[in-house]
Amino acid sequence: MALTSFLIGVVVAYQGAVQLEKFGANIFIVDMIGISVTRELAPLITAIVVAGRSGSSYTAQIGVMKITEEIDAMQTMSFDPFRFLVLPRMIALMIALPLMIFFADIVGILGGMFISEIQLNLSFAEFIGRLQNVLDTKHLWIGIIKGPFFALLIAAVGCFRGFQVSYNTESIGRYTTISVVNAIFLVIACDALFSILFMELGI
Amino acid sequence: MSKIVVDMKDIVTRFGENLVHDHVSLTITEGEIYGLLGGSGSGKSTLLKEMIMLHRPYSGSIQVLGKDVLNINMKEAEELKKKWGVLFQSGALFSSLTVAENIGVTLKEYTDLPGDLIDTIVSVKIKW
Repeated sequence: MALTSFLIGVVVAYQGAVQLEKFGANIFIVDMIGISVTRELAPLITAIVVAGRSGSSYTAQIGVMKITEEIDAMQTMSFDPFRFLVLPRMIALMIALPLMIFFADIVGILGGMFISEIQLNLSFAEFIGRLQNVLDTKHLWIGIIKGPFFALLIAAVGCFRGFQVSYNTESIGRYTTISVVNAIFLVIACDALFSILFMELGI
Repeated sequence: MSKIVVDMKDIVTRFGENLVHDHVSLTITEGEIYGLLGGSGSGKSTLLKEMIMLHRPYSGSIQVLGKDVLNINMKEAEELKKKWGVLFQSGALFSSLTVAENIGVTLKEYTDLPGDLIDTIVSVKIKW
């Protein structure tokens, strides 16, 4: 996750540096990286990585529990599977994802900062100085506030697909795949909705 | 005449077009050891699952310990579920828990016993 976010920062900086250099607008690389990473890229990339690793593991875990009849056993003992299996996963992910997004913000900006230094000779001090001026905390919050929503979608889809697993091993693979594909789609769709919402609200 | 524990009447189960149980009836009395024989896929497990509320038959009536499990409210279902024990085909231990935790899980969820007392009960059970 750290490496992915770092590379995203690197890529944005590289692509941006080439274009901005033509206009002699080197310093604007800071705005570009700061805002794009915190608002959009870090939340999205983090959610996609988490959908790949946690969403799939949720589906596989619950699917295996279904095959070993653990879920049936829970029901005969009157343990509600939703309370014992779904709710803890949802809550855990809703806490963890915003924190991971914050971490991705830091690493992503760091990646961009290194490239700015290498490509555009923008020193770290200049970069950070400019960052303090242009990066409103609202951009950071907008990115982080998306976290719980993405987490809810990923956990819900992961668990739901897990419960759909039928009594053969093949279906675990099938539903894990479906779960990840669905989760990534929903995350991106949700992000699009957020973009529209924030645009309408003018933030 | 001893007490009737499980009473199933005219159970019909179908999976789509497949008719699995065609008006099956059975009565199991207290202390009786009852065996179900049948080929693979003939519906033995399904019949058992219907007894323990994991699967709903298409029609018929099921009584377990005098309770009609097809029309039972949640409170009664919970009471009933605390009275029975089920051993599943593949064991169905909770794989995320240790053996000791598996033994103690009902005590932990349904009683207010302190943790160390549960541990003691569990260790008595294991050593025995």
